Amino acid sequence: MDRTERLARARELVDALERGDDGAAEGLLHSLHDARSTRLLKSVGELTREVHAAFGGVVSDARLYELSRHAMPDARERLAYVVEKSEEAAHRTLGAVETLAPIAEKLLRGAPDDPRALAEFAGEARLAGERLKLGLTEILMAQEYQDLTGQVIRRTIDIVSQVEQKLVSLLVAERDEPPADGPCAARAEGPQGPAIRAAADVLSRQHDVDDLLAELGL
Amino acid sequence: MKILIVDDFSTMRRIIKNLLHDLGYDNSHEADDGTTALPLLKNGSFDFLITDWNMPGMQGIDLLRAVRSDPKLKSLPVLLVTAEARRDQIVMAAEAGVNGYIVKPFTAQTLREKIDRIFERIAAQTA
Repeated sequence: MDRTERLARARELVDALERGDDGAAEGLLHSLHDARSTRLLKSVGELTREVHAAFGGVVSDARLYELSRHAMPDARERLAYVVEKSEEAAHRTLGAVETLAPIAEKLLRGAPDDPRALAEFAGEARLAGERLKLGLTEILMAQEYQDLTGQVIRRTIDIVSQVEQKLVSLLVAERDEPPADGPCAARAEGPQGPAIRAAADVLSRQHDVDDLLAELGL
Repeated sequence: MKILIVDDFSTMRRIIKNLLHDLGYDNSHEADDGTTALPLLKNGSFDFLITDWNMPGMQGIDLLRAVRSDPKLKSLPVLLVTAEARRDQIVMAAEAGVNGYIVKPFTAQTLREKIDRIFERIAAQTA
């Protein structure tokens, strides 16, 4: 619906209202609203196609595809993958730590004085060294998840930014005025999770938390 | 000393359990949120509670309040170990009667210091 057409409908609407023809006025209001909705739906359709294409782009990334084996069709699934991979790596690392700790404790008890026991201890110490080395390698290798999850998160952030930009342009088109500067204020209530960037009211260092608690008498 | 560790991430529970072992505390138990933790606390004669804040189901702050309002549990020492680090949240926890507050990520040394401090204070109060 172009400008002239909208203006014409608006005039008809005023006429209908002045005549007291509520039925006609209602119909005209609906047709104006429908025209607006159609424009919005068209924009949403375009956005959906672009988001879909963006997701497709990530899935076709050869390395990620090979590593994850399964195409991950949306951001939620990708983030679930991040949770899974990082949990797996943490357990792998903790498993190695739990295996290594008793070996270290044994070594810490030190060498016995008795010569025969000492020879035995030396053999055990060598074995312990080998097992420690293996365990450390295991811990080292477990960190590989970061490479995978880091990439997935980065791509997800890109996709979210693209969606955000499209939504903003959609809003601008609808409002016919530029959006206000600055991030959306609305701070959610309840737990926020880790602070991913510094903010005035966030005390991310234990030292600052301790100072505040001391002020509060704790 | 019997300790309950409450966190929805099993990895974090494992890390805390291992750190407690290093500190000489071997009698630690686990729960994944406040809803599962509270019955354990009510029936389990625990000496110490270490809890996360942000969990599905009952959150750490609500678990703390539930503990403080229960006649049997009200004097149980509670340590919050959480990524929640906003000033108003720390104040809220202090007002709810928390004994210690650790922000994630944290170190083994911080955990040791906070636990020691909590028990020093309790000993001083009861002496």
